[in-house]
Amino acid sequence: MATQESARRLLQQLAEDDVFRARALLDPVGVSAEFGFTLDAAKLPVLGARLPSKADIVVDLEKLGERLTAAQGIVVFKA
Amino acid sequence: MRIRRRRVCLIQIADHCLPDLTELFSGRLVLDTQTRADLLCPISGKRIALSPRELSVLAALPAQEWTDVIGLCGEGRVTPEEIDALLAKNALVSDAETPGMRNLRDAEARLTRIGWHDLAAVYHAFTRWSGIEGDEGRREHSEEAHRERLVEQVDLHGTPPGHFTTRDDALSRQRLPRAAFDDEFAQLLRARRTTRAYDTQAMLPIALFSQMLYASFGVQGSREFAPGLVALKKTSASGGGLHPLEAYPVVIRVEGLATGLYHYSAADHTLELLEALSETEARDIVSQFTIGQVYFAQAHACVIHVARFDRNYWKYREHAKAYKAVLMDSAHLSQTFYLMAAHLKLGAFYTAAINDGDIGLRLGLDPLVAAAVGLNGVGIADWSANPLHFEAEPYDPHAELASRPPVA
Repeated sequence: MATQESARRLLQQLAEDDVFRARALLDPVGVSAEFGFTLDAAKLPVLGARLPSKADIVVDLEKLGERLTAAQGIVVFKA
Repeated sequence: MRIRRRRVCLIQIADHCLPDLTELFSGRLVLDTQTRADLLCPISGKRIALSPRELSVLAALPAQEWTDVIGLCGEGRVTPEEIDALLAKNALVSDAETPGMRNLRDAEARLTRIGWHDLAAVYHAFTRWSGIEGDEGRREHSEEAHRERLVEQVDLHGTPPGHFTTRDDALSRQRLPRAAFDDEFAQLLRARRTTRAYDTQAMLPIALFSQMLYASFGVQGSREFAPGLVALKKTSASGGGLHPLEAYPVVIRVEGLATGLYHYSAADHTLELLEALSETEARDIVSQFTIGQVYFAQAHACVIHVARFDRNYWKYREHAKAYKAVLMDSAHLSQTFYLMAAHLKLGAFYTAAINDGDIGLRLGLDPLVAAAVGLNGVGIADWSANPLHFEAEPYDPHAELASRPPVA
């Protein structure tokens, strides 16, 4: 089942990993299922799947930071 | 077949913000907000989504006694299909002798037998991390980069609440005399620091590592209070005097010790090798265990703090404060570990940002019984200039107070 955490991990990989992006474009249904999403292949673009750019996903991830429950990176306060 | 509600059945109703995957694979990022009710499973740590109808079915079922499915369906309150769907996702328990149901019943019985508090059990399960990797190992650690990240944090959330608070409703204010604080003990307390750079070529003498373990986790005394009930004296305070924290060292570069994963047997001050590792493997697992805080993997040895909840809860059954007390035991031990390291002129660290789920699997622990709650490290420090080390300026509370206006 998709969760906010699995959604964040999916988007983060799409924002950072070219190999993963290529695999997602080849098999969107399978990759979606790995993160708990059910994707209807019939609803995908006829000319093939497309993804937002990595930069766009990064921007959106930042905007969504407050809304998506996630294991955020640690801000190190040295002590 | 008979069914019952889950013994711990906490429901969270929340808005979930998820990307629309059809839109995502059409080149657009669109978020859908769904209001959902989830049963928070304290065994798996997973959310079990419930429809409003399923929620109403659960709300009408008891957990302490079985309900016959035929009778229930005969009353027209629920359909067999709905029961099957709830059983399939472990939202209900049945008396069926299937492996899955047996495991669920056994786990629920274990949770009750151990004495978990409902809310603590759910918190424990839902804060368990596996495979989490932060960006500590990838990002820049210069003073400038660190400052930029803090500025960004301030931009997002404003400045933090201040270090100091004063009470406007104080009846009076009396400045305390500042006694000399420069004896050996004061110097030791001041020498405590977190170390993030170690001499990775040096070997830590076994005598020092042994002393670290003995001073922090070893037994200093014992006394029988009742037949079969022996209290131990250790160097750190422990809730109820139970000392439920176990030490599991990861030895990386210690003279005379094979690199690997160990259990420290406090009873006889002995290390039990659980898994032999190469130095690279040992550094890798420390990095993985500490969610990618790669600098900690430079240490010569780490000690995983494993809490034995069953031991603490034997005394504090379903107790609202017990889980907090166990976590504080780890904090007490960490401070002792830090001070001992400072005494031996070694570097040390502690982190609670750990993949406790992965550590538990590696150590073969049942998370209802025992789990990692933190991790100390120790080693020969590399004190050369390092932006990850905190070099504080002296602070004089009287000088600071003198510059502050008196409270009206």
